[in-house]
Amino acid sequence: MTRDLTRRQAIGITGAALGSPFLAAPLYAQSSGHVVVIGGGFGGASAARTLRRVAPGISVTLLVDAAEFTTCPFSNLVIGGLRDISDIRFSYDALRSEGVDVRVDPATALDPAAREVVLQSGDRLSYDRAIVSPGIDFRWDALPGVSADVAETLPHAWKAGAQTLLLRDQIQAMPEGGTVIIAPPDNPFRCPPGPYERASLIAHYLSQHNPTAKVLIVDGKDKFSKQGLFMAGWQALYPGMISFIPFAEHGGLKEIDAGAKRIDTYFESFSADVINLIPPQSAASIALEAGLTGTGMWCEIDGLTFESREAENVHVIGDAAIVGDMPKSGFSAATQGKVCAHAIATLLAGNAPERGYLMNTCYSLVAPDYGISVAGVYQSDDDNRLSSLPGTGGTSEAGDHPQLRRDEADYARGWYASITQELFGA
Amino acid sequence: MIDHRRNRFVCMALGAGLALATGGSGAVAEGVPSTITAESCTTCHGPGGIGSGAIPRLAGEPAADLSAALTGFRDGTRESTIMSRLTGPLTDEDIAGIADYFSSLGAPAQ
Ligand SMILES: Cc1cc2nc3c(=O)[nH]c(=O)nc-3n(C[C@H](O)[C@H](O)[C@H](O)COP(=O)(O)OP(=O)(O)OC[C@H]3O[C@@H](n4cnc5c(N)ncnc54)[C@H](O)[C@@H]3O)c2cc1C
Repeated sequence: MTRDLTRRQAIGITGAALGSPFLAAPLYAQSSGHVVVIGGGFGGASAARTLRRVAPGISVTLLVDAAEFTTCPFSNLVIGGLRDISDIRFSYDALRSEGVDVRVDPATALDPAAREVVLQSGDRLSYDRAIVSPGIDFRWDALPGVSADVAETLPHAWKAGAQTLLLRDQIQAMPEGGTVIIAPPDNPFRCPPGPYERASLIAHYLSQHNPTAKVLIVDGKDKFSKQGLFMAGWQALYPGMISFIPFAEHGGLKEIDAGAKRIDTYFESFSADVINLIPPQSAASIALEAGLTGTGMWCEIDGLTFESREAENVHVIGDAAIVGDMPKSGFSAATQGKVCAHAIATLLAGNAPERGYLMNTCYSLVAPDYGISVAGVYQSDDDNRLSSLPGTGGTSEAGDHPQLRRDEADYARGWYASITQELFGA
Repeated sequence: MIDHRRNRFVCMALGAGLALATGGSGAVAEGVPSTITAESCTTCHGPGGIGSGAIPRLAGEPAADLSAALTGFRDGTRESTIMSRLTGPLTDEDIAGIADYFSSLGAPAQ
C-alpha cells in the first residue's frame, strides 16, 4: 500500500523525469519519426524494444533474417550437453506485441545518401535514423585454402543454431580417447572468452563420457581473456585434458585438410577427430557493402550517439562496431542498443544526448558450478570515444575460492535469464 | 528526506540535459543521468530491476538501502563478487540518482 502510494507519487512528481521504464521521459516525449533496425540479435532487439519503451511516438521497423533468434551466449552449454537448443531460442512475439514492426525480410542494401534500406523482397524502406546491428561475418579468405563450406565438416559454431548442434553431435560421436581441436582466431573477434568457455564445457562433457579424450586449443594468439582464471580452473577440474598451444609455438595455420581432419601449422601438424575452426571475422556484409567500415573491417562510431563516422543518420552497435574499449559481447551489444535508443529518441526530439556510464560483464562457465567473470565501466571521453574508466572492472579474484566460483556460476545463469527476458521476454 | 533527494536529482538531471541541449561542452556538471546508467544495471538485475535468479531485485527497494549498498561496494566496505568492480567511478550524486530511480519503480502487484 505504502509502496503503491510512493510509486504513484513518484510518477506524478518525478517519475517521468526520471525516465521510468514504464513511462516516456520528457526529453523524448516530442520524438517522432521512423527508425529502421537491421538485425534482431543482442544489439538490434535491445534497441528496437527500448525505442518503443522510451519514445512511443517513434515507429520502429526491425529487419530480421530468421523467424527466431538463437543466442550465442549459453550455446557452449548446448555443446556441452547441459542445455537444449530450444532453451536458447526466442521468438519476436513480445517485440511485435509492443508495436515493433518485425519483418523477416533481411536488408540487402543500405543507402545512407537516400536514407533508404532495400529488403530481400525488393521492398524499400525510408528512415529518419537507421540502427545497424548485424553482427559478424567470417573472413574465409583469411584461412589457407578453404571456403565457407568447410564449416559443414569443421564447424565454427560461432553463429548459433545448426552449427552448434553439428559441433555437439560430432563431440558426442567421437571415439574413446579422441581429440577435439579448437582453433580460435587472433583479436579482434566476437566474444573473447568464448573459445575458452567452450573448451571448458567440452572438457566437462568429456570428463563424464569420454574421460581419456583431449582438447587442444591451437590459438591464433599468445594470450587470451581471463587466461589465468581459466587455466587454474582447468587444472583443478580437468587435469591434463586441455592443452593450450599459443601462436608463438605453432606459427600459424598453413594448411587445412578437412577430409583428413588435420591442420598443418608452420611448426607442427595436428590431427583430430573433431575440429572447431573459428575463422577470423569482420563486421557483417551489409555493413561492409554500405561502406560503414571505411577502409577497415569494422565500423567506427561516435561513442555518445553510436552514429557512424562514415554515414550520417546511421548508427552502428554491437559486434560490427569498434566501440572504444568495450568488448564484442552480447552484454555490450544490448547495453549499446539501449543507450543508442535513448540517444536517437533525444536527437529526434531536437535535443543533445546525455553522457552516461555503460557497463559490461562477461561471465564464463568453467563448469556448471564454477563461474568466472570480467567486467568494465565505460564512458565517452572528450573525443566521444567510449573509454574504460580507470580503477574499475577487471576479472574475478584469483586463487582458491569455491564459494565465489559457485556464486558467479549462479550469477551467470541469472544474467542469461535477465538479458533474454529483457530482449525477448513477454 | 528521500523526497528532497529525489527532487534535487530531477533538477540536476534536467539541468544536465539543458546544459547539453544548449550546446555545452558536453561535460556533465554533477552526476550522470540514472536513466542511462540503469540500462546497464537491468541487463543483470532484470527488466525494470525485478531481479533474476540469484541476482537481487532493485525495484521498489528503499532508496536508502540501495544507496548504502552501492556506497559500500564503491568504497570497499561491503563484500561483493562483482559490484565493487562496477561502482568505482560513481559519485555520491550518481549513487543517489540510481537508488532513487530503482526505488521509484516500485514492486509489481502481488
Ligand atoms: C560461443 C559464444 C558464446 C558467447 N557467450 C557470450 C556470453 O556469455 N556473454 C556475452 O555477453 N556475449 C557472449 N557472446 C557474444 C555475443 O553472442 C555477441 O557479442 C552478440 O551476439 C553481438 O550482438 P550483435 O547484435 O552485434 O549481433 P547478433 O546478436 O549476432 O545479431 C545480429 C543479427 O542480425 C542478423 N543479420 C545480419 N545481417 C542481416 C541483414 N542484412 N538483415 C537482417 N538481419 C541480419 C544476424 O543473422 C543476427 O541474427 C558469445 C558468442 C559466442 C560465439
